[in-house]
Amino acid sequence: MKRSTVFKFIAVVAALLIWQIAAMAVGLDMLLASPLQVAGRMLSVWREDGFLSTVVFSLGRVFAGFLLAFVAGIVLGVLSGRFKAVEYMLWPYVVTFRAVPVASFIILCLIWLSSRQLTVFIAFLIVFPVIYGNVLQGIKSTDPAMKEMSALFKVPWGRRFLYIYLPSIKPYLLSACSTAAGMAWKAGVAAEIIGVVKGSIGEKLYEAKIYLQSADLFAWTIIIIILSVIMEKAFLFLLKRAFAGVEKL
Amino acid sequence: MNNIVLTGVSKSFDGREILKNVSMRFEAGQTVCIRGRSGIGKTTLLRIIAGLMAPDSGAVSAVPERIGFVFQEDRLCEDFSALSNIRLVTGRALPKEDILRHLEELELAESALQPVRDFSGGMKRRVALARAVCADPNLLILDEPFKGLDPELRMKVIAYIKRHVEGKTVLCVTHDVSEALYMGGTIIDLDDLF
Repeated sequence: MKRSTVFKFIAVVAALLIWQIAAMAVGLDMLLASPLQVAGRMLSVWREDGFLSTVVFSLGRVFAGFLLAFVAGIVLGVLSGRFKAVEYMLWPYVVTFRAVPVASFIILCLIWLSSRQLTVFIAFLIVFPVIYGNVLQGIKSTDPAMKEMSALFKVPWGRRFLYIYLPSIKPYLLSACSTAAGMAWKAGVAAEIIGVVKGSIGEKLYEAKIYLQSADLFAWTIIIIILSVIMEKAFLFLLKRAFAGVEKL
Repeated sequence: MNNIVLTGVSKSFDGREILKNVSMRFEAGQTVCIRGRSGIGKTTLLRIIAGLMAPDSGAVSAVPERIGFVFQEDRLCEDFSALSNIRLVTGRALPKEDILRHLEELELAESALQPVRDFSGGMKRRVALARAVCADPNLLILDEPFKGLDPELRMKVIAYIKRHVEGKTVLCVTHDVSEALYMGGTIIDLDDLF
């Protein structure tokens, strides 16, 4: 086993020990459940009625928002990289999406949209500027020598995009997707909690707060982390495969 | 195809005049090897002819539409194969078999589908050369095209170029007299002109 892995394992065990000691010191399950209680709750929660539908509900909506932002971020990022006017036109929206607190958007969306669409929209709003900004940065950092070469050989724009710009966008896009997947879950679940979206993971967290069930709160939080990691890894795997496919063209 | 004519071309960088009132004429279909000491303006001259750089004054006329250029750096798409790098400029206009034949002539057939990031400097140089030739240019500009090639390979590459550019205008910058002699055509020494 690698030295770093051993140290990480020791750190996790130490963190769990501290948590256990803190839970024992507090002495109230409803305020701070112990790691063992949370583990027990984790083992029971997935057997409950509606567990799968709750997970599918939130996962489907967070992923839909993420995917929409991914597509829109790439299309508009590429257009902005090519046409300065598009970048200027989008500038106020991107700045607003970045600067406005997510809670303000959630409340605004609750006025405009049904709570069931809320997660998709909020995940989109949070992910879009990250993908867009990174794609634009990737295009701007494309090697000028390669751009000059493709212009000299009069390479059509589509081919130029695949061969010259896409390899430049690739590291930025992979890094953006890795960051944005976690952000989509954080913002999406926050929206579900504030909007008390029926049948969502956010609703489960809201109920845990109302009924002071800290074991439920931790158990669902761990489920969110697991879903977030699975979504990120699966998406990055597919994205890397897609890039590899393009490179074999 | 018309002759390429430079009339009173001047170019300066940071106040340092590289080309001063240069007037030259390159006959259509001719091979011209350009020599000269470092910094005399050989690459600048080629870039101005190719339209990659505007002169401060003067004019260049009758430059063909289709230009093939081997830059001093290879300028290849590192993640893509040799075949793909050539396809970038040819599209489907040149069949895959023809591209592979070009690569075979340059002893790259076995590596044709490998990403060029795994290639040696000499292999990359040959891919850059094949790309410029496969673009079927009317004007082929070569800026130190044989850099990084061993003498035996250099001769093969020169033979390859000569085979494929018959009747086309070739401008080649080289420091090596023997390379210029093997390329044939006219040799211009910029040291004598500027």
